[in-house]
Amino acid sequence: MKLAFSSIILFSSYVFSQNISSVNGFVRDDTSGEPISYANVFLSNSSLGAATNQDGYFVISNIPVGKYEINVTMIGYGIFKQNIELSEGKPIRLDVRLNEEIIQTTEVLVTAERQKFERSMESSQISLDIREINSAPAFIEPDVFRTLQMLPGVQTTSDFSSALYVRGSTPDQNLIMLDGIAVYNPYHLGGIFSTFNTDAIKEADFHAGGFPARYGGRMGAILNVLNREGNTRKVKGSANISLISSKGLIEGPLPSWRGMKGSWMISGRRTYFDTVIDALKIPIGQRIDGSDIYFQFPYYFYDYQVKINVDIDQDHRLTYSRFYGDDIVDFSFEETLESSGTNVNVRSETGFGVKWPWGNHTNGLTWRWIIAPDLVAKTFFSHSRYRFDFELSAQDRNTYTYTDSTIELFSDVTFRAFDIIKDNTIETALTWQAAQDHTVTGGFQVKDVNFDLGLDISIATQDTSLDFSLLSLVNNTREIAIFAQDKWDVSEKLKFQFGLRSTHYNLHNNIYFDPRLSMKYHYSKDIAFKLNWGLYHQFLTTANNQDENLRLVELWLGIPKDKPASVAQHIISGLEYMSPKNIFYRLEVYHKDFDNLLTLKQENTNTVEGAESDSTTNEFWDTKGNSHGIELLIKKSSGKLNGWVGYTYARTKYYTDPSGWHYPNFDRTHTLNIVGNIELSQDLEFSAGLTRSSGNPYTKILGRLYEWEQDLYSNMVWYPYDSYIVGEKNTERYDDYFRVDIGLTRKGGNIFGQEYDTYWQIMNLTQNLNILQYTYDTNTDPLTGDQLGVRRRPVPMFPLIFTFGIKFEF
Amino acid sequence: MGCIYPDLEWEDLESDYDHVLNVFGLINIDEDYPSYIGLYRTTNLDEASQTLSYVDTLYWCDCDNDECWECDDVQDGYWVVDSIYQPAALIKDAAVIIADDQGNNYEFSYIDKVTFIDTIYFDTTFTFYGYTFDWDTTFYDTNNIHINFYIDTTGTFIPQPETNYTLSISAPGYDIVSGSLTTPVRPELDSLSMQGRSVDTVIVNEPFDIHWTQTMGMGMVTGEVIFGNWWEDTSSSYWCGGYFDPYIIDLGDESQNSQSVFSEFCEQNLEGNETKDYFIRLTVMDDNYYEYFIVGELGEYSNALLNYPTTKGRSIGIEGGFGFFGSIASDNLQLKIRR
Repeated sequence: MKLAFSSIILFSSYVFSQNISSVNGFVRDDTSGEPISYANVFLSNSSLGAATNQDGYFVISNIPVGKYEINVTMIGYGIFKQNIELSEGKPIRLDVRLNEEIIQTTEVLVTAERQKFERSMESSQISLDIREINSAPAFIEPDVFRTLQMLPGVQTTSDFSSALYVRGSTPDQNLIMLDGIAVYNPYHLGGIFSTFNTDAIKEADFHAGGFPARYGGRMGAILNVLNREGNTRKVKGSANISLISSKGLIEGPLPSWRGMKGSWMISGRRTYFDTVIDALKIPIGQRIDGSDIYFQFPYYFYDYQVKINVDIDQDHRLTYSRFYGDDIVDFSFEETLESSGTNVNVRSETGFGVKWPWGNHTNGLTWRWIIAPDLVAKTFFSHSRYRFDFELSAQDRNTYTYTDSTIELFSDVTFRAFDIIKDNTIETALTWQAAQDHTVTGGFQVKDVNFDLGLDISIATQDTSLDFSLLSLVNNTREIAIFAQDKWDVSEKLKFQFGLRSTHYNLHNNIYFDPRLSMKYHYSKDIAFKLNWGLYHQFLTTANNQDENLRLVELWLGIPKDKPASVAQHIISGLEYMSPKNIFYRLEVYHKDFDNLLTLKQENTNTVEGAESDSTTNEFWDTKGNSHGIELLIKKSSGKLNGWVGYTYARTKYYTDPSGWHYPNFDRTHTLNIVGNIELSQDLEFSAGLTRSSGNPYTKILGRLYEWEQDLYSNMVWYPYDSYIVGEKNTERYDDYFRVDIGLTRKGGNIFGQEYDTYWQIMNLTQNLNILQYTYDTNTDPLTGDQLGVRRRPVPMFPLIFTFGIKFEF
Repeated sequence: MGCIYPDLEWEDLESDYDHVLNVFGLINIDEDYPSYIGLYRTTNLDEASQTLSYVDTLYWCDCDNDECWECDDVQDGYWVVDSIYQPAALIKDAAVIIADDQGNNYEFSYIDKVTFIDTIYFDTTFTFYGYTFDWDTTFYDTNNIHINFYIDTTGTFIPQPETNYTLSISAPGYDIVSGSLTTPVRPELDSLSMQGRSVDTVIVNEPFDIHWTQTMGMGMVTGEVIFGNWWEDTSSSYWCGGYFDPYIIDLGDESQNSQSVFSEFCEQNLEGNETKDYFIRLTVMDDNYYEYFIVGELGEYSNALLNYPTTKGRSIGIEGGFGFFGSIASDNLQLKIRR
C-alpha cells in the first residue's frame, strides 16, 4: 500500500511538472459553512471546469499555466469570481464561500440537477437535498424514506412501512448508510418512521441500481444519508414540536485551537405518548387489593445524532459521527396478595414483564486526507450495532409463613429472543484525478460482522434451575473487499466507467468478483444515453416471513456456510434529457436477475382458530427471481414550483419450490407518483403528493377442508379442524391503491420575538380505502351454532389523518 | 393529530371450484382401537362447514330455584342442552375398500351413531394452587361421541404389522381416491427406571427413564396421570398436569433405547403418599402418519389476520383427494405415580 501511495504521488508530481498546474478547494455556504455539493466551478475563457463533490471539494487539474478567472456558481447563491494566476507546479487552493441570494441573477443557470446530469455516470441515481425531502407531504414529520418511496422504482407493501422495495429487491438487499456507516434496521415503530431525523440531514444519495464498485455487499439499492456538518460561524438551533414527538438540533463552531478549527452538530428526538398517557392516569380496572390499574402505553423511541468535524490543517480532516436510536417497549405488572388461615399467612406475589429494546448504535471516525490536489484519500472506521432483544418474564412467588417455619415456593420463567449484530468496518477509498480524462477510484474494505440470533428460555424454581437454548445461530463473517474503478472520458460525448469489486467471504473461503460497467453517451448538451451492467453479491439475509405486511423488526443472518452467496445482475439503460429550464427527464429500462436468495420457510399453525402463525428462523427455500421495468421521472428542482412526476411499470417474480414462480407481496405493476411543492407567497408553502398504483398481490382462499391433529395420551383421539385451502400464491391483487396528501407550511411566525413555522398536513385526503390485507371470519348461526360461510373484511392502511406541528429556530 | 376511520363492512365470500374428497384414513394395529376411514369433501366458502346434528337435553334450569346463567331473557327457566355437530360435507355413500397384500378385500361401511354420556356432579369444591374454590353448583360434563365413519362392521379386518395395505374410495361425483401404506412394527415398552433402578411406581416431579425394545420406525412417547373422575376427585387439582411433552424417537436408532422424562404438575411440592394411575404410551408411526402429524406442512402462505390455518391441500399416502392414509401401532404401560 505504501508503495502504491508513493507511486501515485510521484506520478502526480510528474504531471505537475509539465507546464501545467491545478486549482482545488472547497465550496461552502457562507452563512452556515456547510459544503455545497454539485456547485459548478469553471475557468472563464476555457473549457476547463469541475463540479464539487458531496464534501464540496473540487479540483481542476492539467490547467496550462497562466491567468484565469475562476467562477463558482450554484443556483440559490450569488456568483463567486476571482482572478487567479497559475504557475508551473504550484497548485492553487481556494476555499470559496457562496452567499445565498434570494433574487437570482439570470447568469446562474446551472443547477445541481444539471451538474449531476452532465457528470454522473451511474444510472438510476438521484440525490435529494433537504428541501426536496421536506417538500413531500409527510406522516407527522418529514421522512427521507417516505420521500424516496415516491420515486420511480421504489415500492412498498403498505402505508405503515417506510421500508424500500427497489426494483424487485427486498429491504434487506439495500445498503442503508448514515455518513457511510451501515445501519441494519433503520426504522422506528415497526417501520412507520425511518430512524433518520431530517433536521440533521444534508442530503440523501440514492442508487436504485447499477451502483459503482465503490459500493458492495448488497445487491439492491444504496442509500447514503449525509448529515450536516454543523454551522462553522455561530451557534444555532431549531426545535420541532409535533403531537407525538419533539425534536431539536443545535450546531456551532468548535473553538479554534492551534490552527485547528471545526464544527459540531447534535440532534435528537423522542416520542412522548408514553409519558402523556401515564400522566393522564386512565383507569382500566382494579387489582385484587382494590387499587386502580391504569392504562399504559409502554412504548417510545428516541434517537440522537452527533457529528464533529475537525480540520487539523487544510489537508486533513477528522469527522466523528454517532447515531443512537432505540425503540423501547417496557411493560411490567406486579401484584401482591396476602391472606391468612388458621395457622398460616400466605403472601402471593405475581409479576409479568416485557422488556424489548431494539435499535441501532453507530460510531464512525473518518479521516480525509488531501494527499495532493488531485488525490484524496478517505479512511473510515466504523462500528455499527443493531440490537433486537425481547425478554418476557413471569414470576410467581408464594410464601407460607407458619408459626414455626416459612416455606417459599416460586417459579420464574424468562423467555428471550434476540438478534444482535455487531459490524466493524474499516475502509479506505482513494480518488485520483489521474488525467483530465481519467478519474480513478480504488480502495479496500474489511467488514467483520458478528450475528447472534437466539431463543432462550430459563426456568427457576425453589428446587431447580433450567436454561434452554431453543435456537442459537452465531455467525462471525468477514468480508474483505478491494475495489477499483476508472471513469474514462473518451470524448466530450462518450464516457466509460469500468469497475471491479472482489470480495473474500470467510464462511465460504471464496472470492467473489463483481464487475461493473457504465457507459454514457451525450447525444447533445441536453440529451444523454446511459447503459449500466453489473454483478452484485450479498453475504447476509433476513429471516423474516416474506408475506408479512407489517414487519416490526428484521432478523439478520450471515449467509451460512452451506448456502451460496446471493447474487444479482443489473442491466439498466436510460435516456436523460435536461431541458433548458432545468427540468430533468429520465426514462429507464431495467432488468435484474436474482439467484441464491433465501426465503424463510413458513410453517402452518396446525392449530385451531385464533392461533398465531409460527415460523422457523433458520430454514430457507432456495429462491431465484427476476424483475424488469420501465421508469419515467420528470423532476423540477428549482423555482417556486418544484417537485416530480414518476411513473413505474414493474414486474417482479420469485421462484421457490413450493410456490413456483410468483409475484412477491410488494409487487405493484403500475405506479404513478406526483410530488409538488409551491411557494404561494414568501411565507406560505403548499405541498401535495399523489400516488396511484396497482394493488399488492395476495393469495386467494378457495375453500375449506378438514385437517386433523392428534392426542395420543390415554385415549387416542384425532381432532378435526377447518383449514382454508389457498390457491396459487399471490395470484390475486388488492384494489388499486390511491392516496392524496397535502401540506401547508406557514413561515415567519413570531411569538415573543421567537420565529417559528407552523405546518398542517392531511394524509389520504380523499379517504380512499387502501387495503393492507383482509381478515377472515366464519359466519356462525346464532341459533343453531352451524358454521356457515366465510366472510372477510379489509384491514385498511392510513385513514384520513390530520397532523400539525410547530418548528422554532433560534 | 386526528383521523377519520372508514366504515368497514363484512363481505360474504363465494368460491367455485372442483371439489375433491377429504380423507382421514387410519389403520390401527392396536386391538383396543378401531381402524376407520373418515370421508368428507372440500367445501365452498359460501356453504356451511359444520351443522347441528343432535341436541342432547341435559336438564331444566329453574330460574327461581337453580343457579342459572341466562335468566334475564326468560321467565321461568330454560332447557340446558348440549349441541352436537357434524361436518356438513360428510360423504355417506362411498364404496370404501381396504385390501391387504394377500389379496383380501375388506369393505368398510358407513355408520352414524351418537353415544350420549352425561355426568352430573354436585360438589365441585376443589383446591388449586393453594386456593380453595367452592363453586357448590351443579356441573354437567358431557362427553357425547358422534361416530360418522366408515369402519369394518364384519369383524374380519384385523390389521397386521409390517403389511402392505391399499385403500380405494369411490364416491359418486368425485375422483376415485387410492392410497397405500405399510403398517409399522408393533412396539414394545420394556420398563421404567429412576436413577438407574427399575421401578413400577414413579414419583411426582422427579425424572424417570422409559425403556423400549429396539425395532424400527419413528415413534412417539406420551404420558399422563389418569383420574377416575376429574371433578369428583378433589385431589385432582394437585395432580393437574402430569403430562409430558411427546418425545419423537427413532426406534431404529441403536444409540437410543430410552428417554428421560420429566412430567410437570401444577403443584411443585406434593405431600402424602397418595398414588394415581400413570399411563405411558409408545406409538410407532408409518411414514405417512409421521409425515402428516409430525413433519407437518411447510406452507408458503400465512397471515396473522387470517385466524385460520391454511393449506394448499395435503395428500399424504393417498392420491386423488386431500387428507392422509396412515397407520400406527402402540404399546402402553399403566403404572403408578406417587406424591
